Amino acid sequence: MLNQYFEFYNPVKILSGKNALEHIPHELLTIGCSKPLILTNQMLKDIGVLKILLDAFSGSEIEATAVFTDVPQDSSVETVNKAVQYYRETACDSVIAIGGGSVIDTAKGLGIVISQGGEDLRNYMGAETLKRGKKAPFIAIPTTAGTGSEVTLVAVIKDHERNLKMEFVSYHLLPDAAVLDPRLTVSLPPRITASTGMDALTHAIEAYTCIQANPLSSAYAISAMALIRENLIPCVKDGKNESCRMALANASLIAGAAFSNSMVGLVHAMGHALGGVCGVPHGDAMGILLPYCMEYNSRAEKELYSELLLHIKGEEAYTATPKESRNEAAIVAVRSMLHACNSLCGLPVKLSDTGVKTGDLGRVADAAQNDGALLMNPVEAGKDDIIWILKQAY
Amino acid sequence: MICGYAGKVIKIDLAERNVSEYPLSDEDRKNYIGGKGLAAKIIFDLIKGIIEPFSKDNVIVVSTGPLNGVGAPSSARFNVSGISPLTGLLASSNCGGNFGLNLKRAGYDAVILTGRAQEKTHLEITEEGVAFRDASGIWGETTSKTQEILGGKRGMLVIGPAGENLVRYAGIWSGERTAGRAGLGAVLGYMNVKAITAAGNKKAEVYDRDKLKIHCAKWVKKLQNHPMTGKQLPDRGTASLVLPMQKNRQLATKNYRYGRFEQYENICGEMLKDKYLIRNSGCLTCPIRCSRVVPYQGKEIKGPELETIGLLGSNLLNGDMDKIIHMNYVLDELGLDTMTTGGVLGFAMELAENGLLDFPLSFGNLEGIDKLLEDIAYRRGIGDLLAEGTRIMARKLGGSAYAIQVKGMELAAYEPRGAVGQGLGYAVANRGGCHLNAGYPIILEGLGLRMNRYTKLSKAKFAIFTQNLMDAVSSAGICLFTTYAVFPGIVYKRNPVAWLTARILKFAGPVVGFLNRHSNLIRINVPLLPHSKAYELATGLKTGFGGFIKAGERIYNLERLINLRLGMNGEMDDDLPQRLKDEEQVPGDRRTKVPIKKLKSAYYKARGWNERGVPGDKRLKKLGL
Repeated sequence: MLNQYFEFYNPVKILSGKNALEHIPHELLTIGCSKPLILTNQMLKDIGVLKILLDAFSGSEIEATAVFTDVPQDSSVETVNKAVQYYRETACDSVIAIGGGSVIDTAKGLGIVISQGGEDLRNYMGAETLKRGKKAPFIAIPTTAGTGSEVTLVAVIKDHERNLKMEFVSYHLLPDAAVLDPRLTVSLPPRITASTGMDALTHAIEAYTCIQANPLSSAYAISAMALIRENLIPCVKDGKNESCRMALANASLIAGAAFSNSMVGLVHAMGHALGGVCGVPHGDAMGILLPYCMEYNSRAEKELYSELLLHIKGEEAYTATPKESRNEAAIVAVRSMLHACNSLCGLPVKLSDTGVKTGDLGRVADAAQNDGALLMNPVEAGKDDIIWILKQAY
Repeated sequence: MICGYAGKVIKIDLAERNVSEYPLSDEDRKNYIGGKGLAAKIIFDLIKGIIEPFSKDNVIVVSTGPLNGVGAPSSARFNVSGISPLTGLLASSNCGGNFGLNLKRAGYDAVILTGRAQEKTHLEITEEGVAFRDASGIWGETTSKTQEILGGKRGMLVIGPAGENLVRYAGIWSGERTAGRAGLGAVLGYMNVKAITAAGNKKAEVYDRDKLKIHCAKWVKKLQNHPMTGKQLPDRGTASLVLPMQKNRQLATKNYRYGRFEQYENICGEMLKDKYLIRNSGCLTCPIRCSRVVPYQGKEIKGPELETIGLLGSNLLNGDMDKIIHMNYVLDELGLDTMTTGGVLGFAMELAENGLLDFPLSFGNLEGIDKLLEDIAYRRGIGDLLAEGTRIMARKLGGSAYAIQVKGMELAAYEPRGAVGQGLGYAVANRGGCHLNAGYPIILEGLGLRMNRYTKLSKAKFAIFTQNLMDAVSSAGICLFTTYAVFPGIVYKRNPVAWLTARILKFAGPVVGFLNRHSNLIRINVPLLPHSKAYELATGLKTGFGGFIKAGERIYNLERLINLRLGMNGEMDDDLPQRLKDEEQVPGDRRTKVPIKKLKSAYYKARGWNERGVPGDKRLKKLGL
């Protein structure tokens, strides 16, 4: 059903495909920049991913000397503030983030402080609280295919002092360009491929089912699901397959654009809580929780979840499945993808596999209840419902 | 110390091999009687939130009741409780074997097992204490072989290969009787406990032994004169119910697609009696003697009970009694619950029909069943999937609409679309899809009395009454079959009185509801239920029938509180599979599906629970919880 009103916004220029990185110098010059701050982490430097980017600048007019490699696995306020300082000290005029979700979120955090002219990210938490300011041009280059952060208006950054995952939501956080190059993801280990792939699938499914879904976001979500359906398992099996890699990178980006407009729901609310309380990696939490949350939601939204079968499993399976079983078949399809990943690379299928203690589940439920994503879920879920899901998934 | 009890509860830390006395107060004994009630109280105090059943957080409580070993009829029952690997919720499994009496003779009301033994262990409990014996020599043995090796005149509690291999519906055997449901055998297996034995010569003090003796003699007579406990059950065993179930469309057939089975005459109690029965047998102290002894490959073995017959027979379209006896024997040996196994097989067959599982058997075709049952017990090949139970199978493969389980436990052989009160009971039962924890309302719906099977009227109130009653009786250590005699014999027969009673009962909801809420007003003991008087005479406590049944209500509510702590959710868990609530058993007859939403709402209200199945403070306060 068409919403009475909806908005859709995605101004990010996409540079996707073989040798896409080589186009970056031109892009920067087009927007009038010549000295980008390159944000990344030490691991990407060590395995040579950073070098691929730097090589792309050789012979160009771009001065790619300011490189900040101290981004930890979980982006943090402290890191953002340090990067801001570095940006100002080195007199950069733009930002390039090359890395996973934490690097891109750090860049977004940096963008916030720069545009607002402040010193400390902690002052700007919230949804659409930012003034336009003078935004630093920003190019995002994801090296994992999952978060979709390169096209989303969200950043999640941890404040270790307060043990709080701060959430920032603003259209000003959207990068100017996103670059997908198969060379960047080809060396990802199967375990990460699977985890980030399930993250992308969750984005697509939640984007399709959340209350703010609209025809445009759904079109994006459907397209992402189709790409994941065809490519996730082959890619976990054979990471060197460049066409699968590109398909997943695109799926992740497309799903990101979808959920950035329709928002995410219960799976993310619970996933954020599991990450915050128990440190469960985001993609792992998504994979584990997704089928159980689908089970919960589809009780009240059977038709909506039945439609998912077409996108997750394809036309043939959809038509071969009786109408009344389609919602369940969609859940089974997700679960079998998860189990296939489990046998291929050990992706966890139960919360107990992740080291979460049963004693933490109450706190996880409390945290999930306070997560904004819950408001967008198609079905209301109280604390006892969240506990029920956690228990089933344990 | 209150009379009737052994007076001591011990807690065994298996990992540390440490035995300590558990501080159970007389107040607890008074409030929770014994058996499953005491176990619930202990578990409530020990387990404070969600736990993983296969972890060191789980406990097993084996408990006896005040009427065990004091001369009451049908009083050999003991209880095993813990958190079920099948449901993730509280499980209590009742057993009629020889262990309970011996445990009490050894001087214990209950034994609590915690932690996980480092070695395969046999626990030997005597008056002197607990000895940890090496069980590596008996690990892997079948249930009967294990008991044969252990030998001696002592009570035994053992698991089979299924328990060792953590099959989620592995049971616990004591002699030939079974604490079969809910997979507590697998919890023992996880704990590395292969067997527990108990022996002793202690006798519990009885408050008024002479009066109790006279009372029990009258009670025995009453049971013997009752058409159900004195005739039907001794004569044809529990399988005697096949015929009325067939007539009433209550016999689970073809994975609960139907309520009638064409070949019912081949699997009924009459057939079992005429063609197979060698003699009756029964638990110690029981005048009913409902158990059957049948021939099998030159041996005399335990015959199949009704639930086994239904779930391995009609439910699988298997009209071959020889095959049922054989499967019953094999499952007993492997240590698997026959009921859940039947449910799992039926579900697998239907999954295969719908192309969702590649499964070697089909309805009516059990070729190769022996290997499959072994594969389940040893978790080999497809057996590994089946060992998880219906709920997990449905999650992996689909088919939840016809996955006949509640809270993860497969239903008993009663097709509830032929008895909607039983359907309500299944849905709300704390244990999951258990006919007994449901309150067994079907006894009113055609299996004893003849209340309208399809009406919603009064069913919730009666279910509450029987649930409370059965929890109290079970906790006291008495067999639930004795509660059949709660209604006078005349109303079990075909006559105008029975006809009229059935019609009156249909409208008796408000009265029963009032009694449920104000049970404490009944300060006297009632002749139809001799349990409470026996309880008074054994313990010296003055409860009257009202206090006794109120304890049952307290226990039922405590069990619910434990389940809520364990993450149970009334909205999601107190429910029936789609087939039973949405599809008509007889196409075109709208009465033949369970109107669970309305029944549940009436039930919650009558229980004093909120719309999510959570007991209200007012009711809990009244119950002293």
